Amino acid sequence: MNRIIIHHKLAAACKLVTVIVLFLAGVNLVVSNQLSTQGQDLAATNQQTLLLEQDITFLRQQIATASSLAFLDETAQGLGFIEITHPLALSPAESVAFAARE
Amino acid sequence: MTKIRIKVIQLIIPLLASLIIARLFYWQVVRADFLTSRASSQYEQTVTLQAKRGGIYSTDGSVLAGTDENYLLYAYKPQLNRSPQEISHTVAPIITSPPPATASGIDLVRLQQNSIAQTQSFILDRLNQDSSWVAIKHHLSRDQKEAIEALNLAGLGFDIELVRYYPESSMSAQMLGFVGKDINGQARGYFGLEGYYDRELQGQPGKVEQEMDAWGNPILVGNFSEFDSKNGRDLLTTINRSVQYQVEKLLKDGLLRYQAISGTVIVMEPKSGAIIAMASFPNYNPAIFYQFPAEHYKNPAVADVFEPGSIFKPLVMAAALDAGAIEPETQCDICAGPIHIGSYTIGTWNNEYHPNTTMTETIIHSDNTGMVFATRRLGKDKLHDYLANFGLGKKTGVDLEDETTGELRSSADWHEIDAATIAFGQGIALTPIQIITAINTIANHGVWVQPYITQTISDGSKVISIAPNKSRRVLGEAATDQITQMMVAAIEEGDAKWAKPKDMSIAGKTGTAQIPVAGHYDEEKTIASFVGFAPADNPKFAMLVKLREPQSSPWAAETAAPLWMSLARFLLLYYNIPPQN
Repeated sequence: MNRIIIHHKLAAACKLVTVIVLFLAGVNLVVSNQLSTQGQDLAATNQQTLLLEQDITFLRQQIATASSLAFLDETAQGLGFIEITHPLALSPAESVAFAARE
Repeated sequence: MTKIRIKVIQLIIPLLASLIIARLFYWQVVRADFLTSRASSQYEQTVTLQAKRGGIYSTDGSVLAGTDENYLLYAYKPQLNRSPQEISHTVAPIITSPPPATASGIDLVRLQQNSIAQTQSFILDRLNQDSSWVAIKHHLSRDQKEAIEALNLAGLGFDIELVRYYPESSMSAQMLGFVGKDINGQARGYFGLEGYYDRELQGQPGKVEQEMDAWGNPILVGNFSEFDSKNGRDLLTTINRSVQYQVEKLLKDGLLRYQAISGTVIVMEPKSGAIIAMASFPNYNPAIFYQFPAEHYKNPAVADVFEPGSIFKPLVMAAALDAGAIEPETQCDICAGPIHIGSYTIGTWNNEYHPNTTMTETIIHSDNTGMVFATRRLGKDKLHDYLANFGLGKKTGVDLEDETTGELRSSADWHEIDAATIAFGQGIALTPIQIITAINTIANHGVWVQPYITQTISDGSKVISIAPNKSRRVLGEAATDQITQMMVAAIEEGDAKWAKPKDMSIAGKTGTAQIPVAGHYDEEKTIASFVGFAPADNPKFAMLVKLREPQSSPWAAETAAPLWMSLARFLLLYYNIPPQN
């Protein structure tokens, strides 16, 4: 009696394992199939990332060059700006009340 | 017959089997490595991830040295779909460098045509080489790359090349250093900050290995390994870009006006020791450093040693005051004429003598005999101790690769004449950074602080403060106040008083030092320098100006002093410091 029960249990376990293996094989097939066609997308994304990074580097360099003092000095001179050579310093005026008291 | 056949088969089968085994052994064992690498090169791709060198920034965050991308144009000959002649003809005009800006008119056209013809012939030579992959041109700009891509020439490709760029071109060149190649062809920083912080700046390259399909696209379920690259760290310096620019501009003007062969200016923040500006001429453009003489690479502000002359006097006088050997009103009883020491005679710079001159007047008149008097009162051992405490004879520790120590001999090696000449800055060799750091001790109320240029290092996520914060007290407050008043008097009443801006309180000292040549001092050549700080009571900056061999006048009062004053005028205006009166 016990041997029959064990036999049935083993058969059920084998069926279960077979079903799981077949299911996983099916999942593997579907996932692999999907992933195998996405390599192209990944390559395109990588390329896009690279181009954007190149753009960032290029723009940073352009900003640094355009905001350099050498460039600004040259541009300011071209526009007719001149440096202050004799700055005028204004002292704060004495308060009226203080002056009146004296 | 059958038996014979069986025997033949018995022989042939083992023989064939042996041949097959031998062949398999050859392919799978003997040629295994070769075949493995051939196979992996077909289905595996290794991409090197370049590490970007860290940037160097001024205190306002502006780029002093950054990393840009240039492009290497190459040809993969199996994929070329045009003839070499056609390719060279279309590509040459794009990659040919423009002729020099001095050319014009017909010359310009002719030079341009010649250059393009040379480039065409060069491209043809490269394309006719045996190799299937040939490099055509390095360091193309983005515009040039896009122009070539627009031609749609199959077989031509680009590799990224990282290069250093300097938005302010030669500004701060000797302080920044440059990036060249080491013996393995790898980028390496030399001199200045690039050399000192090379390991921090260079970063670590990485690589990605992955399986590819027949079209060269990655297989997502294939082998994949990635070692991330680490970009170099950024340096935030204490350099004020505006001050640095103006300092270089005025120094350049000063060199022209006074016809000096070289010049150095250092501006320091008294309390912290932060270097606000550091400039020297002649300099070079670090982007094209190889076009300049190698002797321009070193930073004279930290690498050149010179005899300081009279700008050294405030240090000796401060030491004597601090030790209590003299007071500002102490009278010199050996100053009525030249002082004779052995076979040597020590006189004043203008052969004018002031009997019973006070110590304050000694500084005002820059009197060598008064300095000998003060040194004798102080004693040579104490003088040596003070000078060592001022940081002389060893590196200041500023974060620049090319700093040297200068020379301060042991006091045991000083003869009487040595101690006497050191009193007025002869027979001792200092670097400009040493003298400004020592004078800054007076500006900082007697506390020596270590000079530095880099305040933080950051890798994008973490910012590490590396300001040294090293300090030590060298002089007492009372002695500092006394020597400051003497230096103010030297400006108000000394030979450079004409150059001083009105209503400004400046403490300073001129120095005109003869240049030692082959055991004697050259009578014609001088180093004119001026050192000081302002405003005298609460200094915002300490500054050194040093001019080598000025031709318009050998005297510092007529060269270095007015240049210092014009720089001070700018700095006081820049820092919004109102006139004292």
